[in-house]
This record gives sequence, structure tokens and C-alpha cells, in this order.
Amino acid sequence: MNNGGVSPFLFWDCVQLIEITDRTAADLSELLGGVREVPTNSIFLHMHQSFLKYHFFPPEYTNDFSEWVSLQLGDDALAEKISEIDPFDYVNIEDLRQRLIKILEEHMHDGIAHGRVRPGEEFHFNQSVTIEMLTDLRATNLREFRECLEKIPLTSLYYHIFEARLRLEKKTDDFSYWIEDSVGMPELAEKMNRMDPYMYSLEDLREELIKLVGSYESRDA
Amino acid sequence: MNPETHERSIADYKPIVGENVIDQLQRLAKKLNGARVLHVNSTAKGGGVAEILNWMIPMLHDLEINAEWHVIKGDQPFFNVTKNFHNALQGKECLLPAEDERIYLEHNEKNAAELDLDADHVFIHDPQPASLIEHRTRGTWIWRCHIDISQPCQSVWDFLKQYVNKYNASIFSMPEFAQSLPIPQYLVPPSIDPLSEKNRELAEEEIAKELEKLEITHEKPILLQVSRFDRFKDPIGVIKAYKLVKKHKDCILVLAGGEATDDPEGPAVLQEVRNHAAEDPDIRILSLPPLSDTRINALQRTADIIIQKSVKEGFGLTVTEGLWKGKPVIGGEVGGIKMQIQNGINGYLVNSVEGTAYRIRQLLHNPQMAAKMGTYAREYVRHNFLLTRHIRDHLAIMIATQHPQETYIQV
Repeated sequence: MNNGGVSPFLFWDCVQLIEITDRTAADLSELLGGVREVPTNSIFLHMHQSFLKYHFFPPEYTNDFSEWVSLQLGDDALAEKISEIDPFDYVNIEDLRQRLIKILEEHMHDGIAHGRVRPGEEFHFNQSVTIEMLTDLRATNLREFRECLEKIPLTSLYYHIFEARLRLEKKTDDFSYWIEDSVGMPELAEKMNRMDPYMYSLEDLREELIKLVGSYESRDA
Repeated sequence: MNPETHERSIADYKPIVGENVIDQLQRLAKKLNGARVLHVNSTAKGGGVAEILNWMIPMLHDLEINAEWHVIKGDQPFFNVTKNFHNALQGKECLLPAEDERIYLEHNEKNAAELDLDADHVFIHDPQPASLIEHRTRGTWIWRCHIDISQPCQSVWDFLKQYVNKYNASIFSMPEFAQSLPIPQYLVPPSIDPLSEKNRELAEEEIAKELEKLEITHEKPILLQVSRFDRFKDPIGVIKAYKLVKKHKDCILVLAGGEATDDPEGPAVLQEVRNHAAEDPDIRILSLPPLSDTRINALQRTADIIIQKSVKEGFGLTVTEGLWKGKPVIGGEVGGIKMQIQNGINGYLVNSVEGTAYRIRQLLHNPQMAAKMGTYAREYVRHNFLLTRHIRDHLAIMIATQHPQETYIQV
């Protein structure tokens, strides 16, 4: 519980720049080659950048690989296999990359994969440069935390939920860690940690978090 | 720099994009600590680049960035050479005589002697001033390429590349334009200014006044394509699609384009379009003079469906403008149109006359669905293609170039 000595949660924000490369893939073999060789932040970007784009409905797939494989290669079975990867099951992006490689290799080994896309429909491997900035928002208790959640830019949510967890190789997201470690509410932290952020838009995720934190606010008096 | 001073402040965009977006811009700008930023291009008026710089420089001032805009000078031979460069980079076959290289380099040398290039961040726009990099004294230099160089004519690109390679970074509008370069290539799609004359909200009376001048009434659904009369925009394909639709549903087709005085093919294409339209009174072909922004705005706001049936396209800002007016847009599945239209959500991507006609009929017969798509269309532009996102990317690039090789930069 909040004992008055809680170290504040500092909200960070980020801006993601996309760096384009001249590496493309026109078939699965080239996609596999790219996945093997591109920097880890490229893998991270293609698994997550969809969250920073505005969607009217949950997109069919939230990672670029599945989207391209389904839309351009017409290989829905493979798209589904890739979409079932939960990045939070992996401690780091390198492990995630290995899982992707395994799925692609197995699919190709099964002889299911074939076909090349037309010029103009290639997969473009990009990478990202993330600029992290401290905002002036901070919270020392659950009420302040919830109020900050209402105010922060969605990019801040993206940073704390996805960027911090995978890139910094933490087993939990920043929010859950602070709530358990500083606020001392392991049950809430556990519930937050078990949320499935890959199934929400950032806006919906914000709403869910606000609701969840709000339901525990009275216990943090 | 430009006489058409942009009088809006960054705060004017708060009601459109939200406080968070403006706060983020201010946070980023603060990290640049009043940096001196210089933009250099080749024209003060007309064209997309001048349009962007016209709003960007005052916005940067508003964010307490010490920004300036310089325009290089050149005589006719220089601009003939750079026009050839421009065409060659967009794929036209080319030759590069030594004389052209000499003219190009000499002019940039003269410009370098006259311009104050001393800045923390220098943005050089397009090929015309690219070799100014030879005269760098300090700062990070960024080459901003606004044109489609996905399949450049090799000799011109090889010549220019030797200068581009010396920059700290480059910026392209589409992933397809990426080249093999030793410097970072950032993706920054174009944007529109929601408060500009072409995009600002218009009162009903203003719209009515503009339509009256054009003698257009909204008694039947209006299909609209706004673009210059150019074969790549396929205006004749649009007429063919309209004729297919007309068999099922009465409607008006408006094809509105500029006079295109600098395009030698323009008058011939316009004549072909007129021939195809023949005597159909429901096809309105408008050859609009410059400064018709309010009129275009009124047309886009009145149209039921906006079409951009291009067969080749750079980015397609008329698509962005149409989406921003809350209209579903039917666009050719090419270039930047693919980045803007989410098929079946804020419009449709099409590949043929038949496909265009089919999608028009679908939207005309389902006005509620069309209205919903229009709502999504506007939101998509709000989040992705407004000038605030464009400024954010530029500020972020300035920070990124101060931290070369770093993929996570804490500021």
C-alpha cells in the first residue's frame, strides 16, 4: 500500500522515426533472409508499428509480416501462424526473431510456400530510431497515476507497454513493475501484467487501464 | 521569405490535433534549444515544396527554432539542366553532357558564395541545390527528396549520388523510393495544412457561392476528380467509369484541373478529355486558374465521392485533401495512394475502369456506408497526414542526426 514514501512514476514519451532501407522481399525465401539479417529494431518495428497507426477497427493482423503474407502472398495459413506469436513470451527480440525464423523455415520446408509478388508489392524492411523524452507528468499514488493515464499521449503508453518491456528485456511492463514495487499492490500489478495489449488499440488499452486502476483506487487511500 | 506570410500559430492547431500533439512538438523543439535551421530550395512560389516551407518556417519560429528559408538563384540554362535532372530521376531516359554538369556545379558554387549556410541543421530540398553540400562549414546536412526516384536514370543519379552521400541523412516520402545509400534514409510522407485555403472549413454560404460561380448544382450525386490533365491521372478512364455508372445511377462528373501551362502535353490531354466527354451536360470539365484553392475546397466538400484514378502517382495529395473533407476516396492502387486508402474502410483501391465504376455504384447505393467511410477518412488524415506530424518528424530527424548510429536516443 501507499505509505507516503512511494518513488514517483515518471512518464516518458517517445517519437518513432522510420528509417527505410533498400532491402525488400518478393517471396518467402527473401522474407526469411531479411528476418535473419536485419537489425533487431527492425524486427521490433515490424511487430509493433501498427499500434502507432490509427485504426478504425482492430486490424486483421497487428504485425507487418502477417499482413504482407496474407495480403500480398495470399498465404493465410502462414499469416495466422505468425500472428499467434506473443512477443511478451520472449525475453528479448533476438529470441522473437528465432521463433519467426523457425515458423518461416518450417512453412517453407513443408513445401506450402511458393509464389512471388508483383513489382510494387514487395515487403520493405524498415528500421526505427526512437527518441525518448521525459514528460512533466508524474504519479506518486494510484489516483495520480490514473489521472496521468488520462492525459498522456498514446506514444507514452506505447513506450511504457511495448518499448520498455521488450527492448529493455524486462519481464513486465513499466506500469505493473511500479505498481508492485513502489505502490505495493501485487494483485493489481498481476492483473495489469496479464492484460493482452496486442488485442487492443492504444486508445482502448488506455481505457482498460484507467478502468482497472480506478477499481483499485479506494484501496490505495 | 515568401510574401504570402503564414499567419497562423501552432496553438491554432490544438483544436484539430489535440493538446497532446502540440505538447509533444514543444517538448521536442525544446530539446533543440533554439537551434539555427536553414531550408534551401529552388523556388519561392508555386509547387509543393514552397507550399510546405511557407507554413513550416513560421511554425518552427513559433516553436522557438531559429529557422530561415533561402531560395537559390539560377538562370534559364541552369533550370533547364535541373528540369532534366528532375525528369531523369523520375525515370525518363537521359544523357548527362559534361556541359550540364558544369552549369549545375557553377550555379551552386555561386549560390554558396551568396548564401549564409552557417546553421546547426541544413535541409536541402530536391536535386537543384544538392551540390551545396560541397560548401558546408558546419552543422548536420539533410537532403530532402520530394520526388519519386524509385527508378532513376542511372547517369544522373550517379552524378547526384556523389553529393547525396556526403549528407548526414536523407528524407524520402515513400519506402519504395529508398536507394542504396551510406546515410540514413528517413521516411516522412507529405502532409496538408488543415487551416490552409484549400483545406479550411467553409461556411455553407461560401460553398454555395463558389458552386454558383461554376454553375454547378447538387441536384444529383457529384463525382469529383481534382488533378491536372495528365495521362498518368487517367481522366479518360474516369469518364469511362462514369459512363458505366450512369447506366444505373444518375450523377454528375466533375473533372477539375489546373491550366498546366508548364506541361506541353496538358492541352492535348485536355482536348482528348473534352472529346470523350462529348456533349454530355453532366460531365463538367473545369480548367481552373491558379489561386483557385477556395473553389477546389468547395468542390471537394460538395462531392459525394472523390476519385483519383491515377495509373502512376507520387504521393497524391489530392487524395489526402479529399479524405480530410470527410469523403470516401476511390483511388488507383499505385504510389502513395496505397499508403492513404485502407481498402474498404476509408475508400477503395482500384485497378481498372470497371473496378472504379463498381466501387462508385457501391458507394452511391449505400450512402450511410459512404458517410461512415468519410468519417474514418478524416480521422485517418488527422492522425497521419497533417502538418503537425510533418513538423514532428523534422524535429525528430534533427535530434537523430545529432546522435548518429543510435537507435534509441534519450533526450
